[in-house]
Amino acid sequence: MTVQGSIKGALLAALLLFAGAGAKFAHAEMQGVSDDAIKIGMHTSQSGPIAVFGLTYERVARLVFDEVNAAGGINGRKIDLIVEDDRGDPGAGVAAATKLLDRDEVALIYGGPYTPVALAVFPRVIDRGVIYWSPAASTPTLTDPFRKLTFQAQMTLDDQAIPVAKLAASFSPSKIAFVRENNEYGTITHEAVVAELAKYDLKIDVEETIDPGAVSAVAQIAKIKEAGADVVLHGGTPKALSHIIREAHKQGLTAPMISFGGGSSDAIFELVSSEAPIEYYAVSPLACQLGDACTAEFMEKWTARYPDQKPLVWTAQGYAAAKLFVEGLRQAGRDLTQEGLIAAFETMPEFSTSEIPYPMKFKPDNHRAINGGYLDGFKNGEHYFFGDSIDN
Amino acid sequence: MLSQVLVNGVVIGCIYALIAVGFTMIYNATETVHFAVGESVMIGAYFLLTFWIVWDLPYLVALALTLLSAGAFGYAVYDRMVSRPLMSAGLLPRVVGLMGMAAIMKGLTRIIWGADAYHLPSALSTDPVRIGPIFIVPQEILIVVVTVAIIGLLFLFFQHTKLGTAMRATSQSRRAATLMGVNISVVFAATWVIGTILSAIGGVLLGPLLLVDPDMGELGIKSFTAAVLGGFGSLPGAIVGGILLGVSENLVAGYLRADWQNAATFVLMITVLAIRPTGLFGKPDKARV
Amino acid sequence: MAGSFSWLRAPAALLVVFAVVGPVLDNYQLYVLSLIAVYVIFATGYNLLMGFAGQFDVGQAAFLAIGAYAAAILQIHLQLPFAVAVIAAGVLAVLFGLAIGVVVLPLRHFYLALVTLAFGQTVVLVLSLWRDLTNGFQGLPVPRPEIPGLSSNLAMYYITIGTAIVMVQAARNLVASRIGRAFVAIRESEIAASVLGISTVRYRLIAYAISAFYGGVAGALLATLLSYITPDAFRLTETIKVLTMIVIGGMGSIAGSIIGPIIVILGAEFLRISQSFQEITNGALLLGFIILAPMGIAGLALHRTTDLFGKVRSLLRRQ
Repeated sequence: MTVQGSIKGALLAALLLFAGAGAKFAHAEMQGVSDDAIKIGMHTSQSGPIAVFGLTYERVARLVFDEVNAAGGINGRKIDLIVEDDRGDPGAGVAAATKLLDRDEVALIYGGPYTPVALAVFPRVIDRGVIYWSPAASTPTLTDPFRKLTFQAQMTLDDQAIPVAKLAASFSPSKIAFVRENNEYGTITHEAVVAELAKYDLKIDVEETIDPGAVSAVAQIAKIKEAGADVVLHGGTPKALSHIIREAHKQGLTAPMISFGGGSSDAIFELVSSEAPIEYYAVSPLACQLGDACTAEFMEKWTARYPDQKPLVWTAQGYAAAKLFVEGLRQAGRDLTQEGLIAAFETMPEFSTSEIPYPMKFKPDNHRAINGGYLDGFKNGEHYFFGDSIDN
Repeated sequence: MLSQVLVNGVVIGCIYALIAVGFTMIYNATETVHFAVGESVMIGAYFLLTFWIVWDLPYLVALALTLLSAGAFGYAVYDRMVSRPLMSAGLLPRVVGLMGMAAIMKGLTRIIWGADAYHLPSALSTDPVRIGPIFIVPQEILIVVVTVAIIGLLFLFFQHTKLGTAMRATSQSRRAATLMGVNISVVFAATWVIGTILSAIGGVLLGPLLLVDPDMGELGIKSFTAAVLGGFGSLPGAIVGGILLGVSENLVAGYLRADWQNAATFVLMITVLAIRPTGLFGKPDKARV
Repeated sequence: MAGSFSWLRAPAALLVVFAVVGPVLDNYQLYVLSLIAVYVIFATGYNLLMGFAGQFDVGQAAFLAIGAYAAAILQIHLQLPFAVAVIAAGVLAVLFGLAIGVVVLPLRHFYLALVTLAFGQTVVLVLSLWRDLTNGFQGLPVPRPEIPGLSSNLAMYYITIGTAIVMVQAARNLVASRIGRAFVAIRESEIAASVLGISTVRYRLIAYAISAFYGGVAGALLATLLSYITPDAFRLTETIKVLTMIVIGGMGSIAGSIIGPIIVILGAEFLRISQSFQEITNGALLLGFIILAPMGIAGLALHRTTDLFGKVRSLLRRQ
């Protein structure tokens, strides 16, 4: 066989193999639900820019669902979790979700953390009349405006702005600086915090930006220091934040720094408790510091299952979210429909976990379950943890 | 503020320069555009993290092991697994091969070390030092000192050693070098080893100034910018290009807006290349695509 | 060179085949085939510029971005019909293509690469800052065209596959024409080309205009296919993706521009079975293909006697 012939053959075979199999359209009952199993499809970033979050949400979902299955499943059905990598790429994310819906015929989609992917994927899912349930994405767009088929058990960035602004106001600042990361996360946190600060008659006086891949924040901090800001707010991710913190310490900027949830990272807390001891706070979804009493149950199960993996604050939050998800499925009973599931999530009673400070609750007109955010911080080498509810 | 911004620009520029020098050396000898140079920086930081923090070896031992491992990696992976099988192929196939290797390295890093960002401590004190209006941490001083030292050593190496002379000869004409009895495959191996060690030093120096994670190799693209700005294939050009890039990025962040950095770099490049279409120190049209 | 793939000689027949299989495919298959079609358009345009005319451009994602945003904005703000918006997106991309083409006229090789790289980054920057028009980093939802009687996925499948077949055929005709020969002459030697009376300025600009048009149309279709766009989706990684496609498929070959996207996209979909090792298996796929066929798969076909297995054996021996 000539090379040219084999190439043609191989390519055709690949296309055919791909186009073969599948193509069954039986919709007598709800897709993905059989007598003894319910298929849940999850897209998450196993690689790409936020694989660290993507992987942790996948692992914790497996942990919770496997435990449920070991105990006999939900209403006689085992959870069959099928995970696809969205690679942090919207095109690959849509492919992942479409595969889950059409090939694996999952009953609903359990979403991943990366916003650009979530925004491309969720309209596809709900157009099909299928629930998009996210334990991970923090973008407000998922549930604002209200949509019947999207659920969010993560603190959204606009909700995170509430404790950030409240703490900022408590310092009675004369000048506030905001360092916005040059991406979607920075833009949304900025907008949200401007709206919240207005409630205290405060505004942002010094606006700075930083590239997510920046290797220095020297200019930004120098300008903030020159402007005399006495509170520094930040919306962004740990890598760029580490420069801001190191630079603030280096240039002797004493203003307290408050970051959104993106700043709730182990590496950052290690930094502010050792090398760059500045006054620093970050939004946390938890009721206590990770590793303290409220996460004891989670930590025990996590360490047993993944002894080599460090959990994040968001892993414990993902754990609580997965438990909420399982409870909703249980309440929906054995005869499953999308409408029945929606009703079950909307009407289930308040769901309390030790990890999340306030009981989680979806309402018929509000599909955000998390109602409170705490702040985790360091000041003079001391650890501070405090919080307040969000009036949703 | 100006002095603070300038000094930091030079520090960051030194890192760019160091990586760009390795990048340029590799291009000169093997005509390979090293698209995985950022990943060499990454493995440098991860090796040090492993030997020093995880294995708890003394810093200097860990550092020596890091550089040895990086050199071995450069030979075993880049030279033997990518560069040689693709030696007769063009420039772009080698770029694609290296990008494939970069993806494998990032994926393996995520599996071996996890996807988390790590805080790599500095071996020096992290208390800032004040010199007049400028604040600086010892690690930043170290970066400048080490960069200058390495560039000096490289100069001596290229001028006064047999291998260095062979490498220079190879970069001028591979055929002529072969005819003069230079063993090309030794030169290639040495180039990959030295180039990878230089990038790893970049990672070791830079690691304590940022968070170490599997995607930190993204800064490799800056060394490409630096190398081209200075004149592709020119070692002094790579150094000047790196420092120019570091300083200009910081000036833009300081006096314009940080989110305009890329656009400002664009303007800077168009200006430089309008005056000198082959970069600051480049010879006219040597490269072939 | 593309002519040896005889099934490509009959785009009409191909159109019929795809039209007939369309209705029996599931949505996942429709989506992946549509995605391949979009990247075939993008890769074909890029290959004309890079592989045929020899312009080392690494800012091609800029045209994809311009096309995507133009199509979205024209439909949202001006309520233009889909087809008009797609063509207008292509035309707008051409204007940008000509502009950058003029800027890089004095530049060659890596210097050209660097400036186009920065051009790509600047376009992303402008899209993220011009919030009134683009909604910044938060992105824009993109309307999907409706064809009566067809599901929206099937409609997108017909639109993308149909457009790809037409545009690939146009590219085939182009490379066989005077323009195509002028491109190759410029690639081989600009000096020799100008001695032959070929205006390098004119043909370099033509190459930029055409590849920008392909990029713009591909961007408009990609935006519609994804139904949501953000500036982040058009960073350097997109250019690298398409560069990988044409190198693996075959530089300077129209057939290569088709084979590359099929291998890269279909390969990634098949490799989903490797679950959390996908980054590694995808990297190994690229490395493996490029070592086995450094001239691209289309390049293999040129050497009819090349024996793939012999190549594997000799590689193993060399190690």
